[in-house]
Amino acid sequence: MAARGADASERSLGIRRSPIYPEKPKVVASTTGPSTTGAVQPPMQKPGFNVNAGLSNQQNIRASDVYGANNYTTPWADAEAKAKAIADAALAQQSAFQSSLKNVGGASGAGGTGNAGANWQSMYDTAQKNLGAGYDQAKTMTDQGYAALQTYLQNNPNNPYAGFTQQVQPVANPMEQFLSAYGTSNDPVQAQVKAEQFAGEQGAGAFNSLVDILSRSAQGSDASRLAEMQMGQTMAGSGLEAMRGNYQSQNALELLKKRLGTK
Amino acid sequence: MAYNPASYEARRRGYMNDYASTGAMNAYTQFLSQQRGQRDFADMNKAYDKAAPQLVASYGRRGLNSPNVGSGAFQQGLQDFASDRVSKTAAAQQTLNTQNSMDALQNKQLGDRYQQSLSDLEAEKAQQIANDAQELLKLRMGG
Repeated sequence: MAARGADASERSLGIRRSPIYPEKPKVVASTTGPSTTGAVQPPMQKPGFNVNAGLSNQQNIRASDVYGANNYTTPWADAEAKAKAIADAALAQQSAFQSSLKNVGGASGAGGTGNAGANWQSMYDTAQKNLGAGYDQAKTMTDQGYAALQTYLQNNPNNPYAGFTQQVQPVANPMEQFLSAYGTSNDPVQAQVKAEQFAGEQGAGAFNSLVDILSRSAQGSDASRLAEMQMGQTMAGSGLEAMRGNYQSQNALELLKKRLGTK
Repeated sequence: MAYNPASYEARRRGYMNDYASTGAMNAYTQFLSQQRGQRDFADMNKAYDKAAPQLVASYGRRGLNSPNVGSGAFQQGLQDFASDRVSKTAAAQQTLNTQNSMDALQNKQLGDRYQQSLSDLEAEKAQQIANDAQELLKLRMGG
């Protein structure tokens, strides 16, 4: 049975202090009388003479006393060293994590202003600036390309059938004077002239209807091309906008990851 | 593929050469066709001009036409002859006219295809520039 006032490591050699909470200096009862200075007094007697006697006379015996100060290589000591190393690493990581958390929101000024956070913010700002410049350049290129197309299409309206009609050739009676010379009436021949004129107009009308359809088709095609150009320009602009938004989101996400210390 | 003005210029030259050679060939073919149609028309009028006095003479030989006699058969014959000439020459004229119109239409369609090809080419240019702009933005952002 350990004496009162002794800690767990002294009561049982199998229980060790966690390295996270290192052992505090302990004031122990002195067997040589009260200290005049109040300082911590080390054990006065070296072990090795009589363990049982040592326990019974309330001496503060340590594991190192039992196994030797210079040969402190018990299995517990190895485990202790490993645990301490793990705990130290965990503490360091936790400290860094907490420091990172403080920097979250630094972009808006709400968080901390650690150096790492400031660097990430700077990188983020640079990336956003490059993105903005790249977007402006791409948008300018796209707009210039479509402006050139629009200029070309407006200067070259494609309506090849404009003003194209078949003229009706007038039908004449070349023998009018000949018939008159022989005292013969031209009336029956004039009826034939009218019939041929009508047939000619019918033929020209059919042809002009064909041309009109082709003309409307060409004009529709031209209007369609202009609309297609405008749609293409809109789509290209929307694509660039989407890309910019995507890259902006990626940059913001990367910044957040850096500040959170995650991958 | 990055925008390459040279490739578009080569294609434009190709369209232009095709338009020029096809147009020239069409123009020559059309000229021959119109020349043949006009010659036929002229020959027809010449034949009618030559036949008219022979028709009058034929009625005279049969006593159906003379300075003092103007029979109904002779007048009917002349009217039929004139009507037939009007009909045949009008048909020939209309055929010739339609042929000219069709030739002109063919030229218009050739020009339409040429213009459409050039417009397509310009549209391709704009589209390629837009695609390249997107690729450049991607490259600028690290792919």
